[in-house]
Amino acid sequence: MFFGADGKPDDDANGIRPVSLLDLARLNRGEYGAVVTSPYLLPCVRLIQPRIVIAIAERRDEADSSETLRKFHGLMAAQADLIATSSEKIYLEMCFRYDHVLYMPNDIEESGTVWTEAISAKLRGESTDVWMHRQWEAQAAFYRNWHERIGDHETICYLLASYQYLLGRSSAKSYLSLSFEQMMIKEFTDCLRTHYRFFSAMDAKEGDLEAAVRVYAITALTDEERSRVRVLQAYLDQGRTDLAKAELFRLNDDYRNAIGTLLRSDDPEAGSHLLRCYLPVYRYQEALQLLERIRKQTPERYLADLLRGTLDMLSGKRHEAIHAFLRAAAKDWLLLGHMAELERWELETEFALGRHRHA
Amino acid sequence: MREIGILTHSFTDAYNGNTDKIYGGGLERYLYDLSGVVKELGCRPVIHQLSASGSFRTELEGIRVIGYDCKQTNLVEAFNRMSAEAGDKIVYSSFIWEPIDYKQGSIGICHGINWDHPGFSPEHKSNVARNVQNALSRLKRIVSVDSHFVTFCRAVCSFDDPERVVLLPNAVDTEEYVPADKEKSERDCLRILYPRRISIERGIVPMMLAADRLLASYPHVAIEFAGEVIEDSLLTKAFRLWLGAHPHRNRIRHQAYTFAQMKTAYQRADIAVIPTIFSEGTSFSCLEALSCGLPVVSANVGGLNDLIIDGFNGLLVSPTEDKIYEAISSLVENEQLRRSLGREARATARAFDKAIWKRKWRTIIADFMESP
Amino acid sequence: MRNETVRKARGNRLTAMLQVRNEADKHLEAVLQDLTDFVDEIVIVDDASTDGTVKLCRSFAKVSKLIELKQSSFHREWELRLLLWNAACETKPGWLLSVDADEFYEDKAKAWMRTLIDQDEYDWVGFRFFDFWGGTTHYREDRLWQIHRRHTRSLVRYIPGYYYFFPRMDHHVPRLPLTYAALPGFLSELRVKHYGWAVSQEELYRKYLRYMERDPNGEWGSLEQYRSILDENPNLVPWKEEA
Repeated sequence: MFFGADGKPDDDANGIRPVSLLDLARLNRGEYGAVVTSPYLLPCVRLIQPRIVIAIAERRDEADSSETLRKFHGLMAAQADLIATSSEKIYLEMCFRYDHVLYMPNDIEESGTVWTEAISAKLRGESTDVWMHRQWEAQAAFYRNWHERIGDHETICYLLASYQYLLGRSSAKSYLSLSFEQMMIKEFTDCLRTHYRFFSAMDAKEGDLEAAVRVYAITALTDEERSRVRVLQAYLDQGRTDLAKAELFRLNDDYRNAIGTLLRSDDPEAGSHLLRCYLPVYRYQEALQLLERIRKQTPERYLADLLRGTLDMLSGKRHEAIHAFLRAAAKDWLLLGHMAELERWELETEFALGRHRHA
Repeated sequence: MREIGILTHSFTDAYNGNTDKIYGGGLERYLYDLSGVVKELGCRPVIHQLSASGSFRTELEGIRVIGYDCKQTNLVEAFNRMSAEAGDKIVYSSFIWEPIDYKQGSIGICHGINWDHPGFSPEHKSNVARNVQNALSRLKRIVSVDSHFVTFCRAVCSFDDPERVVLLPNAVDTEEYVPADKEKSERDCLRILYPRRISIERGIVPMMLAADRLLASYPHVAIEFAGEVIEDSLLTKAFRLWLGAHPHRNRIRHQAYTFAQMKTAYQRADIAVIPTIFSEGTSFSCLEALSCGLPVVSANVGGLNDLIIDGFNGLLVSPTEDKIYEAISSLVENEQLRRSLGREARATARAFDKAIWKRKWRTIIADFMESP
Repeated sequence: MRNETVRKARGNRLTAMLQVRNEADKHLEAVLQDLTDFVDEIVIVDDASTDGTVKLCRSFAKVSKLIELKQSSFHREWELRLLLWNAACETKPGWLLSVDADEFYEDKAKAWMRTLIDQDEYDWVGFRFFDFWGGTTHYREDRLWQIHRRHTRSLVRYIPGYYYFFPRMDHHVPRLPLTYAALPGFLSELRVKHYGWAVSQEELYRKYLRYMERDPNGEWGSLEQYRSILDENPNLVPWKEEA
């Protein structure tokens, strides 16, 4: 979405027409698509009820990366119909969280066609899986080529392992091995959790849960991690493989596969596990729907109010958001802290809109 | 002239360094009135208080005040220092729930149970029980402002003298707090008054939630929040955000009044709400609202249960959004009910008139001065 | 095996592992005698010795496994390391101690050995190794000889299924898998006496020649250090035993 009076001279030539915030409200509902670069624009986007919302996720300054701001940007990604990013780091992270992520590097021509195809698919209500796969393939090929040219390198092998993993291929393991070896040779020793643990996700994906739990157990050093191992072992002993598998994915930050596994599971506890996967990746809409379905199972009664409040805030329903946050706080007054989040949201919104207005 | 030392955590406004003014809270008003009783008996009241703005000595309206610096030490230590330095006739007016080194044979006051939040830990509550037992063993008499502390002592602690704990509810000046003389039903607008500080324990959160619903349901309802905010608190921030762009902002008023002005606020109102969540004695606000003939929606918490009989002189409910909303709605929709509750409210207040309170305290102090 | 027993806090078996070649007339007997007192098993790979090394090894009851190579693999160090590692792991040890035929753990280290391994916090232990010089009373300390200033990892927990990796090199292959570095370790102040240089002037000269022959251009180590083997007055510090 472009708005503000700051159109560049060649915008006309590119068929780009700037729209002011006021004009935005006059656009026909349901006729446009919206591209948002900042979560604070989401309330404006709702005004035109777009057919599709595409979030551009970009790297932000380190100084900007407070937990609250990370949350706002995470919420934007989770709310969008498609997420696009030119940062491969963000891209990979998103691929482990959401089902609708596209890579948009500045220098790869092919991404242009993938883009139009993916948007069209989305508008037809189809899944974007095939386009995600295609991009993973392209990335894997890109790094395989590099690997052949320069030999074993910890980062290249790790990225290659990641794409092979996303594609569900067993060669992921051998590339991860190469990466781990290079880390050791170069004395980057602090990689038990970042590199070695990834084997447990791969084992889990291949269905070898005993091996996966064992690998995870080797990386479990804190009390919290060791208690996770006992839980995992108990799931295996009870034959609750879905829970074990999903938990292994989650412990590897692979929320996407964890959620997929739990959605297919008929384990009576799958719901509460799903909730634990939705929340850290800000999939609040799904979390709220789930909460409404499994209401009786959750001891945290305030949670639904918190989620509702946050979603209202995102839609620009300020008063409703405050009311929902207060409801949560009535159950535990420490949750009043979320009001500070709302204040931050309003500050950032003012800044974002002001910048567009005055630029 | 014999001296009586009154030990308290607060009297003059030592929070903000204004030690030439009495702080505007219920406890401070209570001690001011109590000092008056002491003077009437020909004794000299000396108030020993904790001070966040350094040690000080001053005199206010014939009351000597000694401030003890508590910036560096913990409050209980500072309080015990006061206890050691005050004379031999002492009234302990704070910290009944803390481990205090009481002078044997002194008097204590309990202004209400403040450890009654359902969520507080069992450890905290059993610590309090131990400390109250200590108070009962050392003090000659404990004056309780409500029946709940009396029952707590009997239920949880052991003591030999059945009159060790004396019930003496808070009081209101029924000559000062009188119903408005004008007929309220002539106005189009119905005013609901929350006559408390903007604080968690006073139930501000369920009040705001109920207010949202009332304002949305009843276009003729206006709500007044008559109380101080605690600066720099998360709650104040939340309150201001809520107020800031409220869709019914024009029907919400927030104002802090002096004691003298409060009467007017009650007289302007049609309904008073006391939605306390925990830590409540026989609330001055509730007594004043009753005295002004207001129908009161009150939480069934602490000493409020001593003042309100549900359906007779007010409505008594659990302090939740739903219950408070329902109770207020029923009053909004039923003028007859408002009138009848208001009438009994005023009658109730007479039973808590300040003259009665003074008389009872005089007896207690006189007895105290005669004892060895 | 249950996964929760990845790190056993008690009852760990300790296996010592050695790679030897023509050690019969040197410190081997003393080393094996010493190990017999504090390890549970000893696994040895003999790299085609031509003296009485194998016979000497067999005379120790705790030597549970002895692999005799008929042809020396000295120039394929990677293979040797892997052979010994796999043989040692087959004994299903709780922990492995990698020992050379001229290394002695000080008494204090031996006394602490069980405490070091019967815990579930860390997976390897580093010791301070001292290069004894010219005899067994002094160690050498100067700019080029200060291995004791850092820690050497020689004691490791055996975790079945972990990723063990030796770089495929002909020389200077680490004696234990490199991937232990990723696991949590403990840097102890316990000491190990290395007698490899505690030899006569003539033997030192022979060692110097061997180094220069094997690595004439200093590709694997430093020529300056090789030359310092011949220093006439190296800085020697007397060794003090601790209780």
